[in-house]
Amino acid sequence: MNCREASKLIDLAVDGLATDEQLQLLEFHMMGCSRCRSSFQMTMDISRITRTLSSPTPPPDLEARVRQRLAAADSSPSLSRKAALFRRIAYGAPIAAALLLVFGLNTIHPGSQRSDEYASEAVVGPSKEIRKGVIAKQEVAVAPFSGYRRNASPLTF
Amino acid sequence: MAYQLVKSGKRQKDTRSDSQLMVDLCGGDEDAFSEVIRRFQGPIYGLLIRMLGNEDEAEELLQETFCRLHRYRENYDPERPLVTWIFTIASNLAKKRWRRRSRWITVPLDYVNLTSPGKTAPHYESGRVELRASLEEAIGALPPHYREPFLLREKQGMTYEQIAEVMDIRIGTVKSRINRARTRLRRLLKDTWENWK
Ligand SMILES: [Zn+2]
Repeated sequence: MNCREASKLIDLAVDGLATDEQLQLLEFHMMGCSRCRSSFQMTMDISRITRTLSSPTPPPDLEARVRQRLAAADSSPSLSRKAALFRRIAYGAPIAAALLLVFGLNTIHPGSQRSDEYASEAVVGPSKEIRKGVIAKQEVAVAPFSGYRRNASPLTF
Repeated sequence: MAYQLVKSGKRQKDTRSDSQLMVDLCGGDEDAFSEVIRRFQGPIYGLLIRMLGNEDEAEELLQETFCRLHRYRENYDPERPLVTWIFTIASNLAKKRWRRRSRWITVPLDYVNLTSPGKTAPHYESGRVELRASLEEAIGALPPHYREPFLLREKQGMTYEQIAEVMDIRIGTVKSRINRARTRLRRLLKDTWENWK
């Protein structure tokens, strides 16, 4: 075993994931390699001390602020939403009209392409369902344009 | 929607599992959300502040993490650990912020508590404090894509599989990034460690 391979085993050993056989191999290598022995000890110390590094204290009013933001998003359209709405009307309508002419009404679906992107961006998470994006209504408050594109239809204008 | 902003009286320990809290939250139990915040605010803030090196940004993204958790609560799969899901949200927010910055940030040391009392001999303790300060600085000097898996492993005690899920990378990549993070840290801390040990 060379030092490069030993380095990988050092990680496994420090993380408590090395098998007995791997530990024996590593021990055998370290008997003849002071550099890896030193690396092993140092990695153990780094790991131990990192776990004891201080954890900064979160702001005491965190929950209140989070709830304020949620309540604000629930209750009224934000300024940015209004601005986005204005942009939709100002810039979106001519584009939509052109699209209508080119593709016809049937090609514009209330699709979810943008929703998917936003969902994966917002909560790229463990489950595939999330990536497919089942989007809550409140999302519009965060990403005004997703609402626009999702509902892009002649009726919107 | 009327939220309960102020809690009064002595709080009893909530023994519900993380998953149960999310199920209850989806059922309209806002106290469950309070408990989720209480459980995860420290670890998430610890990661964000070390990733961003800036208290204001870390606080902002901490709030946003919990807002998104609440907003997308229906997407949570109770079969999977909440810790992975919530760290994924925070991690993605941090990544978006890095992209906006387009550069790597070194974490300042101003929030590091260097006066944690120890029960060891004074000279050993001062060496330990120095090593801790150097270690904090060295972690801050790691590129974010090495720093994050290292912190998730060492500070949060996550498995390689969980880190892979949070960062949306392969387990092999997690291993190699942690290996590189440790190699860099050893290089950066060699002198301090030699003096300390
Ligand atoms: Zn070696």
